Amino acid sequence: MTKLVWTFLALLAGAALGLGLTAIAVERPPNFGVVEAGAWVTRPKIGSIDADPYSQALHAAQGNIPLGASEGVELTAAIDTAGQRLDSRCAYRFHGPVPASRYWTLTAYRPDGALAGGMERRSGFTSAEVVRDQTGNAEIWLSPTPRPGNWIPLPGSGTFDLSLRLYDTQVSSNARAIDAANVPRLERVACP
Amino acid sequence: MTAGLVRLLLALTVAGLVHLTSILAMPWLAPKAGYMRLSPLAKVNEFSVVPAREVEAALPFSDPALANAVCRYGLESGPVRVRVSVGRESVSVLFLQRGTGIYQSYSDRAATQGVLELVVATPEQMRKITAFDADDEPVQEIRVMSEVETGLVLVRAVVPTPSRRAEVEALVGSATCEAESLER
Repeated sequence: MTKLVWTFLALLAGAALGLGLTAIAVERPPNFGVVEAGAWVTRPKIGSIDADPYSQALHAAQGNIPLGASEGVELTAAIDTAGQRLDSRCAYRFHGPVPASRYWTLTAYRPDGALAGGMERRSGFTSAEVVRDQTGNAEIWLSPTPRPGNWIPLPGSGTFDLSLRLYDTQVSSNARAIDAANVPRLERVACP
Repeated sequence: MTAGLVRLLLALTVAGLVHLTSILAMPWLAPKAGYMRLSPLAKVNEFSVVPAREVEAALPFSDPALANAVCRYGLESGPVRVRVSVGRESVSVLFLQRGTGIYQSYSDRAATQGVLELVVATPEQMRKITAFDADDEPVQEIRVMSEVETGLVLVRAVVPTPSRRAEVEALVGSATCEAESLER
């Protein structure tokens, strides 16, 4: 009898462990096949039927619709170039070359996926609206207090995430064409 | 001692099975998956523009610089023909189904003379369509096989500057999504 109880408990513990692993995998997804470049991360093949099951589970749990495989490549950042979590109280400078694409957009989100600026304030830029310097590169500031030039207001509390979407790009995210040297830098400039 | 080891192995096996099953089942079970959020905004065999605010409210991590139009296709009465004028914009056509999410995507690079023309059909309907094909004429349309009878077509285009939103929304909204008869 005791043997049966122990076996039952072992089954139960196994099931709990399995579900726990799934919860962790969705909350903090394992980096299977993830391409990292500086602060940026991309999941190859996500907008196609060939996406790996972990990426698919993550997107299903989050509820977003990724870019289609032929639509473009999405790079996301949760950290700055130095590796620290993006913090809405701080000021960041986004600068450097963006991989070639017809259009790119940079968008800031709250952790739940809502736009950082809400419905009223600016939450990002498109490549067509940024002001560029002589070299053709764009410098974008992200901070809670206004900055001259290209400025994305941050909510001033909590963490935030960034998406850099490259529409109609020649860069294929699984071809290792993306590395730290050819993606924009994300520098933390000031922090209270 | 041995019995303990057997139970440990049993627990680990069960953990592995439960974990893999739940990961694989997630896209089907998650009530908040992208497909389920987008679905209520779509009309059957008709494109409707979804205003930016509604997209942002329905879908997390959505790009506010896109114009979106969505159609739910129903293949019960025949295949569905999707026509999208692309103009000079960066337009994409995405096919989604429950559980899988995006299963096919095309960009305006696949357009001929400024129009993307696609036909969605079940495998059975597709066999009939190919049987009608003339041997000496190239096929102009893109053919998309849908394993299930219903799914979503999402047309989205980059709005380069806010002042051009109305224009780009009118472009994606002009897409058509019509059921066709296979009787000729």
